[in-house]
Amino acid sequence: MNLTLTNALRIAQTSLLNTGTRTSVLTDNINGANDPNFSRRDASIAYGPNGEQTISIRRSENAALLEQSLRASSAASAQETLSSSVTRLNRLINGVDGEASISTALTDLENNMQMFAGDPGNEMLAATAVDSAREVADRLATASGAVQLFRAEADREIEQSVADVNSLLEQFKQVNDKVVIETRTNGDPTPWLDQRDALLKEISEHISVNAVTRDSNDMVLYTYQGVTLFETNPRSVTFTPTPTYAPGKSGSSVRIDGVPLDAGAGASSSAAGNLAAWVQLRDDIAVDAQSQLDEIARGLVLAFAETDQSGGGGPQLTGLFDYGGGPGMPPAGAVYTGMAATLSINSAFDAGVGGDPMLLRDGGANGASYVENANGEAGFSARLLNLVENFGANYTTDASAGIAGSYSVSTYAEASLGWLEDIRSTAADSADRKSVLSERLTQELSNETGVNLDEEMSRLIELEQSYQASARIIAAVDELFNALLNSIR
Amino acid sequence: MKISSISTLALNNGLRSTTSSLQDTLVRLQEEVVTGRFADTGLELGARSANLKSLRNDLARLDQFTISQSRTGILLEGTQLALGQLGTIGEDFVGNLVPGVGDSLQRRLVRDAAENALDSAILQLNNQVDGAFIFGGENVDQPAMEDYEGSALQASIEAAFLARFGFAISDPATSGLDATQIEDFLSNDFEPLFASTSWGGLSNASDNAVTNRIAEGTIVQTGVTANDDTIRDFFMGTIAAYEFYGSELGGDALGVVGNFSLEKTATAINGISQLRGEVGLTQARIERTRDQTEAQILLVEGFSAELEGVDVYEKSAELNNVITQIEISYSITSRVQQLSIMRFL
Repeated sequence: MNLTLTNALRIAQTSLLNTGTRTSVLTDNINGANDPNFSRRDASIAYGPNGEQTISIRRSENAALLEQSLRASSAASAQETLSSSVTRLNRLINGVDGEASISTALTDLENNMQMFAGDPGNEMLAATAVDSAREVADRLATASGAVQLFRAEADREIEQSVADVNSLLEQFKQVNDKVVIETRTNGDPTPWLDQRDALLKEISEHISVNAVTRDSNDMVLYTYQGVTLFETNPRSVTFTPTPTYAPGKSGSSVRIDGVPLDAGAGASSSAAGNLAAWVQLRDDIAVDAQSQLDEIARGLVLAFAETDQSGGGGPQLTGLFDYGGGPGMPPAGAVYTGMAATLSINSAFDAGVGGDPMLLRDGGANGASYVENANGEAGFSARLLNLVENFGANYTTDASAGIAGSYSVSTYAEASLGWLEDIRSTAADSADRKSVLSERLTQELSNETGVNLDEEMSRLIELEQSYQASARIIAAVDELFNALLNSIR
Repeated sequence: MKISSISTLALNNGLRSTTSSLQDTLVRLQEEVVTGRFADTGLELGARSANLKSLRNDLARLDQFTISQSRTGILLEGTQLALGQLGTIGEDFVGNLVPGVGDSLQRRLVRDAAENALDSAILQLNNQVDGAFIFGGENVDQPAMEDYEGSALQASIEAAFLARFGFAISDPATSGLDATQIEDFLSNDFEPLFASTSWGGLSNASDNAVTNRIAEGTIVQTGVTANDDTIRDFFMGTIAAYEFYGSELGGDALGVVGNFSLEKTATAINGISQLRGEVGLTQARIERTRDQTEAQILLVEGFSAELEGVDVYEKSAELNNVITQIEISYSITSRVQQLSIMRFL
């Protein structure tokens, strides 16, 4: 009898202690209710051989869901980066709603040429036509410069991203070490596990990782290409920044443990993580955009070229539009890299530097053999009409610039605008879908591992009552002992 | 053991992200309802943006063509009027010439009529429309004709006469020339001068008529140049009368000149009618092209509206829905946030 009373007292005491531990776990949960990286802990009770309770703390986890969620977040963040950057690139090249596009400037030029052709004696119209040609050349050169700045910007983003990944991996090592130590010494690794998951999420934004958990909760990270990113120690992620870009200049690649990182491909990008998306923007999309600008420039130089009229068989030479390699013609059918950047108005046409806009009507920017209006007649319109028709004449474009098919300079400029808008539209659609998926998975993960306040509060009441009951038992046992002791006094 | 399948964080975040995506939609719909076009055509159309751009460029091009067409129309209208005047001048001259053929007494009258016709014709040919001399051909920046009196052509005619007969037209010795001599001179010396470079002593015009592009791939000749054979005939007739009816030429010889002048002027009047017909054809063609262009503009506008336009009724209904949804979302948010077990404990 005596023995059983003591036993009851001891169980009641253990229960009080356990209630304390459980209350502390519960407080932890309530505290972390609004922390997205917090995983709910559960105090589970085991019964000893004498019916006593012992408590073990378990952290709610769902490894499969976590991995899915990480992968979705990598894809979403890459797509988001691609979509917003392509929108920016589009604005740089074409302006809002295509209003500042090269295609618009080209149509202006064509219209001014048409007007001039209708009244070829009008010097004012000649000057206007040359002015709008200058606008076209300026816009091409500006767009080309903007594309290169955009590439330099992407390069800086890569640099920043690489630095972030390296510092995250450093932190990851510290946290992972703590987890391993706590696990091996039977301590409480849960706060460190939370932190490690949080770091994993951050790393995933930059680069998609596969996490494999080994003995003692030790984690190893592989990139989606299968390269080891972290094993006990972080592997080096290296990148040599290129501060300035010019057409045709390529940037260096990101190397993880010596292996170059694959760039994303496609508008709905295969890139997982920001890094691959930035590399894709820098080395693929921006380079194609530049090549297309160069192709438009080449089309213009061809359309306005002057032909030898003397019968002496002289070569075709540049007319109104000149470029870095002028006055000779660029090689046919191939991108002349960097042409858009150097495209300018031939100074022979520029009234501002002593040129004559009327050369547009007469020809002869390259000397007397190239004059078409031999009699100097004011109403000579044959050359102007030819030039206007040339806007619609097809030339062989280079398919490596991302647009295949047969185009005239006007339609090529339109196609180039459509090409970028297509990427933008596809990328934005895909970003919407990928971020919805990522959000949904995050929510699901949060539902699996997060805290519900209502549940915790109701549990608190349970604990309160269990505490009161245990206390009552102690009081009751105390009374029993008192009664017993009083009776034998 | 966890019972609930929803975390507080997910509950709160879910509402927030729904609300913010609804707000994005609201802004987009507002713009679409107001403008009647997609808020972001590029995003909506993707690769078809190239088509839209192409249509817009076509519109700009077509607008430019309508400007070219109306300017060309005005030039042709001017040409048509001037040619009409020229015909009338020719007919008036013929009216004065017919009674005077071979009649030495009418000499003075015919000469004055010829001078009058010559001056008026030059005036008509030097007509300017929109800053361009319409009969100058491609040489639009110079009057098409010089004044005859004192022109290089007159000098060449006088020189040819002097070379043939050994005395000037104004010399009284001309009275000694007979009909055969003067006929020979007219057909072998006088007439060829109008076909040769000497014609350039009167006309500044270029042989090439002005051409204009009035539609894609459609280039038309606009107007008539003063070097046209008809115009040359006209001047041959009037100048012959002007020169010889002022001389001392005898009756028979004068009759030859009169007939020559009559014949040439009559040919010219015929030719002018034909030219007016040709110009009229071009005018009709421009009119047709203009109608076509206008129809094309309507069509292209329709296409681009189809591409970038939105159904405003549908969009405003959608807008109303979104506004209702946002209101509901707000009220739910506030109610969910009040929904705390703490209030009941």
